[in-house]
Order: sequence, then C-alpha cells, then structure tokens
Amino acid sequence: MRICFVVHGYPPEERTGVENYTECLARELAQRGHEVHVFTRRTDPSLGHLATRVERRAGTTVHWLATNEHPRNEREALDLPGAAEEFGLFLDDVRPEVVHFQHVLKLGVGLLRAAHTRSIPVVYTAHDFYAICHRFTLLRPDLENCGARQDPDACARCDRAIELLHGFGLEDYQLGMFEHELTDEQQSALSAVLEGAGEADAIEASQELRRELGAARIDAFRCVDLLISPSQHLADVLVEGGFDAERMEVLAYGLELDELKVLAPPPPLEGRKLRLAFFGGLSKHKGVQDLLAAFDGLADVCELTVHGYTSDAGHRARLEEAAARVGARMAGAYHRDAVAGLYASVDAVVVPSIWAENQPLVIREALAARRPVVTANYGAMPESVTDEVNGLLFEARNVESLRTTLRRLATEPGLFERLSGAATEVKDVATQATELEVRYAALVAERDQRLARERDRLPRSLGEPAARFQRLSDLPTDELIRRAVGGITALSSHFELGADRGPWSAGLMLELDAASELRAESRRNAWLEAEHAERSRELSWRQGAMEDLTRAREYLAGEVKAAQAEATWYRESLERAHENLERASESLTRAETGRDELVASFERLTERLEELGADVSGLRQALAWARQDLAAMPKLALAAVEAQTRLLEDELEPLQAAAGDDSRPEESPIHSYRRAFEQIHRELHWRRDEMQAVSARVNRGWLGRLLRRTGLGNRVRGWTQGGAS
Amino acid sequence: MKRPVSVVLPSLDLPELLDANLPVLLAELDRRGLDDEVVVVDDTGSGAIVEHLATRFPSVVAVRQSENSGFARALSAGIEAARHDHIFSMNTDVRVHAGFLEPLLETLSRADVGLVAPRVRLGGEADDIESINAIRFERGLVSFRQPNLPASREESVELGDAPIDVAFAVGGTMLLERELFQRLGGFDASFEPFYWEDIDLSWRVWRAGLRVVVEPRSVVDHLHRGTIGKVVPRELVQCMLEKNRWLFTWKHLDRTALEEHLAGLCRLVIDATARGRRDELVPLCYALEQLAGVLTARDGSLDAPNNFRELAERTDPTAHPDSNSQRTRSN
Repeated sequence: MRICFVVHGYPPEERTGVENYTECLARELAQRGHEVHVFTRRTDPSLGHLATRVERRAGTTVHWLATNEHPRNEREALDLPGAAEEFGLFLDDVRPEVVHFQHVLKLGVGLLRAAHTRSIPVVYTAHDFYAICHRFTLLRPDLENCGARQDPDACARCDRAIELLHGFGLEDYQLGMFEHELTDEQQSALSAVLEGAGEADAIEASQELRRELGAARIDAFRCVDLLISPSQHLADVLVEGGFDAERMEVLAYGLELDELKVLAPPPPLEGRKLRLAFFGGLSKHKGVQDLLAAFDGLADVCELTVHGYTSDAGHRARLEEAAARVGARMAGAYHRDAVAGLYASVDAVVVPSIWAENQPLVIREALAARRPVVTANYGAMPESVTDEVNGLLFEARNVESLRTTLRRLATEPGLFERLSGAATEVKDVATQATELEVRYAALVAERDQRLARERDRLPRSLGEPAARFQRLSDLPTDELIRRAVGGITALSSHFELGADRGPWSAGLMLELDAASELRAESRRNAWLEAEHAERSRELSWRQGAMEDLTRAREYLAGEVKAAQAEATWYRESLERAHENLERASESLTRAETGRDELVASFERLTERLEELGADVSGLRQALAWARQDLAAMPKLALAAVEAQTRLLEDELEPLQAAAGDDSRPEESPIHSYRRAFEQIHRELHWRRDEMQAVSARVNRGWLGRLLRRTGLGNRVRGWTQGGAS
Repeated sequence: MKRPVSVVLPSLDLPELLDANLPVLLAELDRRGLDDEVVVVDDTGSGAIVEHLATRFPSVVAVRQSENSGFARALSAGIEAARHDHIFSMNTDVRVHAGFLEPLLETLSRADVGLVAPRVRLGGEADDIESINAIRFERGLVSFRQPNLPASREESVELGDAPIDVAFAVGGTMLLERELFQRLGGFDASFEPFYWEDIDLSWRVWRAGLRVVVEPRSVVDHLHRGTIGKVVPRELVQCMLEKNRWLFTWKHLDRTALEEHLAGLCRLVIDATARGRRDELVPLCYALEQLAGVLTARDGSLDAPNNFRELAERTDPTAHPDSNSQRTRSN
C-alpha cells in the first residue's frame, strides 16, 4: 500500500515525541513492504520558501517542504499560504492510497482538505488538542487549564492575553507565564483579560477572527475520515469540542520497545537512594519546575536526574538554578537511541506534567522497562498508570502531594519493589502497524465503495470508463510516465520505427529525467519569480518613495534656505532688540534709581512730615497752652504783680515807716522790688510777641505749602488756621 | 429527391427535449409525405422514454436498449431497426428547419459522397456553424478544428449554396446510407463511451474514396443541451476526448506520419512531465491500455493507400479557398 505520513517536523531536524513516533511507524510499515512517504517541513534557508526536496531514508521517502517564512498572522498560522498547494502537487505525484496526518502544525489545516478533495482517505492521529485549541495544550497564557471547547470568546481572551505578555517585554512567553514570574500589576492585567473584565473592544475584534478561524478549523477537520486518539480522555475532550465520535477511535500508541523490554529490572532499594529521572522536553507545561520544588528536602532519600532540553532559555535557567539549589542533576538533551542506556541507571520515572497529557510516550517507555511511574492524577495520565500497581498518582499541580508521593516511594518498605515488579503490557510498534494496516485497508475499501456508488449514478456505459479513469488517476505521476514511455516503445516496436532501441530510448529517458528536474526547478523558479515580482514591487515602491523623498528634500532645502534667511533677519532683529533692550534696561535702571531716590525722598519727607505733624501737634498744644497762659497771664501777672505790689507795699510801709531813710535808694528793698516788677512786665510782653510770631510762621511757612499740596493740608489746615487765628 | 428517410435519435435525456424538438421534426416529415419514420432509441436502460413516446408520440418507433450502451451503440441499434436505407442520425437537442432533408438527399445521391451533414447552427446562431471542420496534423499531433465557431473565427469559411468538403460529419447530425455504414463496420467500439467515433467513421469514408460534405442549404439548430455535460464529471469527459484522439491517431496515421508522431508524443510526455500535467498523461495511459485493440483495427482497415497529411489537407475546408464556392474569409 502507498502510505503517506504528514508531520510538522521529522528527525534528524526535530526529535520530540510525535516526530520520533512517526519515524518509528514509517520505518515499521516500510519494512512490511509498504511504500511509505513522509511529507514534512523544515526551515532551510538554502532553498526558496516552499521549495521541496526528496530524500530516501530507511526504506521511506521523505519529502521536505522548506517553510522559511513565518506566518504573519493567526490566519496564516492556521493555514500556511501555499503549503496546501505544494502538498497537492506532491499528492498528485505520489497518489498515496491513504494519508495519515500526525500533525499539521506549521503546515496548516489546508493539507487535510488537499487530501480529501483528491478522494484520498484521511487519517489523523490527535497527539494533543490542536484540533480544538490553537495553543494545542488547552493551557491559558497564565498556564491554568482552559475549560472552554471551541469557544471564540475564550480563544480571543487567550490571544489578547498573549498580546499583553508580548507588551510586557518578556522573553519566552509564548506558552505562558506563571504567576510568580510576573509583577502584581502584570498579573492583575492578565487575569482581567482572561477572566472577562475589560478590553471589550479588543476582545470583540479578536472574537470575530477566532469565530472565523474556528469555523475554518472545524471545516478542515471534517475532511478527516478516521481520527485516532491515543487516549479516552483526549477523545472525550474532542467530542466535547464537537468532533464526531463515529469517526473516532481510541488506539494506544505502539512504540519501538525491543531494547527497553529486555532491560534488567531495577534492583531492590535495600537502603540505597531511589534513583528518579525525568525524560522529555523541559517546556513549562511539562511541570519540571514542580518536580524540582517537590524534590527539595528529598535528597537524603533519592536522587533526581532531569534528561531533556528546552529552547526557552529563561525557563531553562530557572530550572538549572532550582536544580542546583535542591541537589538535582540536569543532564541535558538526549538522543533517543540512548534511551535504553539511560534507563539502566534509573529506578523510577516522574511525569509531572501540568497539562492534560494525552498519552505520554515516556510513560509507555518507562512501563515497558518496568520502571514505576509517578505522575499526576490528571488528563489521560491515569489511563496509562494504575495507582499502586505500576506507579503512583499524585494530585496534579500539588507540589506537596508530589513530594509526599516521592518520599513514600523512596522510603516505604517494599513499595518500590512491588511496583517495579508489576508487568504492564505496552503495545509495540509492530502491533500498532498491524492495527493501522487494518484501518487503512478498511478506509480504502470504504472509499472505493463510495466512488463505485458515485459511478453507479452515471449512465451504465460510463461505469467501466469511469472506473478505469479513476484507477489511472490514482497512479503516481512516475508510474504514468513509465507507462507512457512503455507505450511509445510499444508503438515504435510495432511499426519498427527504432525508438525502442539504443540511444534513442536512452535519450528519451534522459529527457524525462531532465523534465522531472525541470519541473522541480520550475516550482522553485515559480517561487523565485514570485519573490522577484514581490521584490520588484518593493523596489518600485522604494524608488517611488525615494523620488518622493528627493522631491521632499528639494522642497525642504528651499524651505531651509527661506528659513535661514528668515533666521538671519530674526537674528539681526534680535540683535537690534537686544541693543534696544540694553538701552531700555539702562534707562529703566536709571529710572529705577530715580524712583528709588524719589521713594527715599518721599519716605524721608513722609517721616519729616510725620515729625512735623508731631511738632505741629506739640506746637498746637503749646500754642493752646500758650493761649491759655496768654489769656491767663495778664490777669495772673497783673494779679501777681498787684499781689506783689500789695505785698511790696505792705512791706514798704513798715520799712518806710521804720527807716524813712533813702540815703541809698538803689540798695533799698523798694528799689529792688521795682526792678523785679519791671522785669516781669518785660517778660510778659516778650511772651506775647513770641506767641504771635510762631502763629504767623506756621501759617505762612513751607510746611503749610507742603501740606496743601499733599492733600494733608485739609487736615492740617484746621490746626494751622486754627493756629493762625 | 423522393426517398423516404429514417431519422434515428438516440436518447438518454429526460423527455423535455423530445417534447420540444420532435413535434417540429414530425411536422416536417409530415410535410414531405414520403413515409419517413422517426426511430428513437431509448438508451436510459429503464424504458422511461419508450413509455413517454407511447403516450405523447405514438407514431414514433421506439427502440429500447436493455441497458445504457452509449451514443454509438444506441445509434447503431437505431440504424439496425430503421425501415429505410437512408438514415439521418440526430441528437435530441437538434431542431430541424423546413426542407432540411431534400438538399441532404440530393447531395448524398452523388456517387462520390459518402456522408453529408447539414449546416448545423450552434445555439441557432447564423454565423456559428458547427459542422464545418478540419483535421490538423501539426508537430506530430492530430487535432480537429471547427473554424466557423467563435474560438477560431479567424479561419472562418464562408458558405455558399454548394456542398463543401469537411473532415468529418458530426454523429449527431448526418445523413448516411445504411449499406455504407455496415460495409465500413459501423462505429469502432474502441472509441466508446463517446467522442471521435464519428470522426473515425468519417475518416474511414474518406479513406474508402468517398467524400464527406456539408450541405449548406440544409439547416438545423443545435441547441446544445445534451446529457453528457450534465451527468458526467468534466475531467472524465475531457479524458475520453483525449483518449480517443490518441486512438484515432494510432489507427489512421501512415508510417511516415507515425514517425513524426512518435517525436511529437515524446515531446508531449516530456512536456507533461516537466509541467506535471497529469491531465495529459492519464488519457494517454488510458489510450495505451487500448493500444492492442486499435492496432488490430488498424491492421484490418482498408488497404487503400494512406497518406494522412495529404488527406487532412484535402479535407480541410480552410485549405482550398478557391475551389467550388469555398472561400476562406480573409481578415
């Protein structure tokens, strides 16, 4: 039978579970005499994008499609442009009787359609949730499990959350980030998007896209005639996601187990440390971080070796750091041919995945080698491991539960020996190949019956030609060419034209080989032409842009010139303005100085005024007093003089009487009294004059003028006039 | 020409076409009043058409094929059942014009004419004449042209009233004598299920020394609503067309032409390989599966001298602009 496998990567380019499994299956079927083709992809910069190369390997033919251009958006990620067309050409050339898809990641769901439209039975083995989840793990970007099934809203939130992670500027965030890897702010933004709050507009747009892509995915997967699920869990989830259970079958993986099966069972513990191992990729969903955390504190009872690798450098570094801290060994990547050798020094295997693993190949291998498996009680893992029989189950995502379980296995007497003594039947690749042969044959028969039914609808005379046409259409191109050449030879031979002999025939074969090569090259050429056209368009756009830029530069040069002239004018104006400013500043300074002087003068004047005011008050008071004195003085003085006079007269009389002597009149008391009396009179006159002089001076002097000018005059006038009156 | 004619119509269609076109034919035959008959061969295999004819057209002779056998066999069965020597074969989607038979009979009565076809107007369009055709042999490969159809209008042949030589008479509209048909061995079963059997028959007529002509005065309209395109996948139709082209080639090319053909065939295979043209390789392989049969038929064919290229040129109406009324329209 002509069988074609389609897979997203293939050894030696890529060597993880699906790729290895496919290679193993292809080799087994080829050994059974089937013509096996593998259509796969790789990045190959030495070839054009979508160029193909063919390689013969271990009885199989591997067709490599170079996918050098990454999808530019989600639509292209679902269905890589051009890949389905190339696959179609391949299908036409090879005409496999059945196409068995192992994965269409990085190739696109269009390949399913390409096989279906050619009436070739399509088998699809679901190795993960890709058929319903574009992230294929049903893990959200916060690495929590997604409960949705083909829900555009949930998918849109995933998209938006990834965009958010992208915006955080993190490295290696594609699969998602654990809570502890994010800041509080980042965490709350992430959970807001995932839990349904906010971002309504952005999510609505994304929902629309996801609705469309979801429909395209469902439509493409309708082309699958038989979907093989290695586990019941996966089958159930796919049915929940809308898959037709009728077209689905649960078939466990069959592996190449010869070397593992003959491996000696692990020796009893007898007091030694339990040798634990992890095998597999170290991506976040594999749960190695939990395993290392659980191992913390167990180094006294067990050893842990982690075999595997991840390109996620940040996560790898964190794992290495954690391993160093807890005393585990990171052994790095391993070649699958070396697996049996590695198992020889392993007692038990841990599969700590945090996602719903489908049917981990590692579990199958470990059980075949009679190594007990410790794994999470989640997804399809319990389908492979029977708790307490051939392994132990721990509570998924619970580090404490894993630690307890590991400690128990390492320390509980007899437990390890009992579990490792259990014999588990693990399907080998030969059994799997037989299962598939049966199914392939059934599908081909079913397809033939369907086509026969279609032919039955044709007029009867067309039945046989249609069947023959179908039979010929199912032949590979090489076979058609071989027959055509055979026909030419037969014709030539019949008519003895000589084309069937010697160099003529050899020449034709050479021509045909050249034509085959020409065809392969013409496809590459078509790509190059497309590239050339694309580059030419780009070049022409760039030339246009360059012309625009040149014109813009010229315009700007003119603008710059004008601006420079303007700048010069402004500069000169500015200089002039500066000069003016300086002059103005000087004037201002002078004015300010003048002002300050004026202010100082004013203040001095004000002070003086206040002083004068005080003086005036004093003077006024003095004036009042003087007036009073003045008013009182003549009377008082007169009274005093009169009193003095009387006193003097009183004194004089006795004296006159007593002395009657005026021999020295100037020395007599009367004389001295008279002089005193005269003195008092003069003083009285002087004071009156003085009083009048002061009043007049106040009224007419500079102070009066100042007060009138400053407006204080009105107030002052009262008392000056008062003073003057 | 007062000869009675049997008009034979193989039918695979639902009765609508018969309902539409038979009344016109019957009226025309009535007008002639010469004991013409209409033979409809029910090729459905179900007898549905026989029943329909019995109720709607009781005068029509119904021949029932026990199972669907294809156009050529049905037509042969009709010819077998016909009462008259002169047979006008006709598709059910052809509508005749008044007086279409007389010119055909007149021309067929000429000693050198073996087959005669009317002016067949495709879709009733006056300028689209289906029955004008030529066989070409270029770069070692055989093909046919219909120069008076829009696709190759630049070669168009202007028709007068005189008969014009053509490479073949289309099976769906031709007048022949049963005797010649039987003498030539009828249709070659290699060409089943359809296409090129009429070209093969015509070419055998030419190789027997007789002419195949179009009688322009006889007019019918081909309304082209046949069954094949409706029920048969296009790829299969195309494959049969191509397959039978190869069979015709290998049956009729002379040795010299075959040498050239072999080179052409190699070129084609190389080209198909280079361009991944499976649609060319599949019919070729189909034909090759029938190679032995066609070589036998070839060996048993007429002994007359055979120069394919010469005959192709001789029968090409576009190659003789000056002969008779034939004239190639110059652009």
